[in-house]
Amino acid sequence: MKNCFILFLLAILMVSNSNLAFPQAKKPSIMILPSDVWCNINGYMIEFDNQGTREKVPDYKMAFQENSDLILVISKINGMMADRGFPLKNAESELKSLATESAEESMLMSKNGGTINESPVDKLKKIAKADIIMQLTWTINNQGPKKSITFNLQGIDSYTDKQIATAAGTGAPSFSAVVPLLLEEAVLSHLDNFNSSLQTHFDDLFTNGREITLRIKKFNTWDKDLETDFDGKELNVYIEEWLSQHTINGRFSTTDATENMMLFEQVRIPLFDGNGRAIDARGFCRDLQNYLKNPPFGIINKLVIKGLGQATLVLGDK
Amino acid sequence: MKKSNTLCLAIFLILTSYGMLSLAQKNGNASYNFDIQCMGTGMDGTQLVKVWGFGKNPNVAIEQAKKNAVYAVIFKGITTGEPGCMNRPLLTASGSEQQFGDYFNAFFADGGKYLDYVNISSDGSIDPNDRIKVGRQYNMGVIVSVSHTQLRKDLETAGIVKKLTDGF
Repeated sequence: MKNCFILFLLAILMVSNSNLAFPQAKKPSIMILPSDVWCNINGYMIEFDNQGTREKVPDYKMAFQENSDLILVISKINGMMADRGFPLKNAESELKSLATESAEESMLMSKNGGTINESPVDKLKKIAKADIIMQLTWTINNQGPKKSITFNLQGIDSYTDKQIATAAGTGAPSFSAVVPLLLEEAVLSHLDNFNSSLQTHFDDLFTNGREITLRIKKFNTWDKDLETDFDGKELNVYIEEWLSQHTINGRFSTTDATENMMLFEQVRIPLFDGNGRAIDARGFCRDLQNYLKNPPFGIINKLVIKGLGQATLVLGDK
Repeated sequence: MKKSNTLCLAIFLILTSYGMLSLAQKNGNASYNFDIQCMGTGMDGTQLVKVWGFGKNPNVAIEQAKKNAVYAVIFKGITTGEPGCMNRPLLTASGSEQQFGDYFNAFFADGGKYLDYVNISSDGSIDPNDRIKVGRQYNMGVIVSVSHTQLRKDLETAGIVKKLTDGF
């Protein structure tokens, strides 16, 4: 009886700690956006003067407000992705939330007259973002009375800028089908192939670790740089050695290195730390931050992150 | 006595070899070599394919073709024909067929679960050009719809295909 009770207690403990026993990696967020090409072809661009150069950027807000085909395609993809357990971030709602949040923050005031503190960097970071962007392009081909759709769906990793999933192709030409119907058919035809290549990316992530981009920079107020010697070795060598020890199979590429900055790409970090907690670029770089704070370096530094996969460590100040 | 023992042994050998052959045919796993073409996207989660199957009579050949269609969606992917079908198979890891051999033997047995995911299209009528007699065998080409979304979901539930959210 006593043994039964102990077993029962153990079972309850195992169930309640199942998250610790089987930790879950941080789930990437996905958002669909029309591509620049699509926005340009359909006239959803804003032109502005960037210090004498005319530049065009997509006007997503206008695209969402005016193009019902775009809403249909996004809605269809959203539904199918939600069915696969990956509900997407809705770009249109995200843009609305950002506008509301901005208005609310500008009005917020404490009883003593204090307002929300926001640096220029904070302002820059207030954009619609996701870990993976599904970039959508389609064109309507007219061959006499027949119409067909060329559809292209690209999954772009926001941090490495790599295309991690794709599905593209031209549908069968039709005499009678209307454009929304052809678009719906294109989504049905391509999304499963897209998800299949996304699955390959996730498999790679679980086997070889999350791929992140890491930048090391220095404040101009710091009197040292990345070529400063510590115990007979340059600081940049220590950083590379640390990365070599802490990345999966020592996998990273030093893309750029000067006395002021280092750029590491294809840095494969583990999905979990020593305690089994899920980590991302921030969690990984916090260890590097502590390593550089401690002797023999004693370098004060500031960690700035972008989502799950991009981190910048600025040395010499907070 | 010796003669009857030899006869018994011969009968035993013939029966077992026939049994092995019929089991292989029944499971559909022996029929790696078949032609399949995409005919387009069907309703939500289905794809329309033209697939060929061999058999000793037309009905057996059609059943084999149905097995082949489901087999292609799971293990081969459909890379020829019209656009719209899944190019990649549901199971991409090599050796999966052997790893889950017991499951798939039952799955592809005559009257097995594979029938839940495949339906003959075109009211069962078959183009005379798609009905070829090769020796004593029939080679039949039929258009079928395969519910690949439902198939994927059920294989995910059975733990054979990984879910997109696995690990997150």
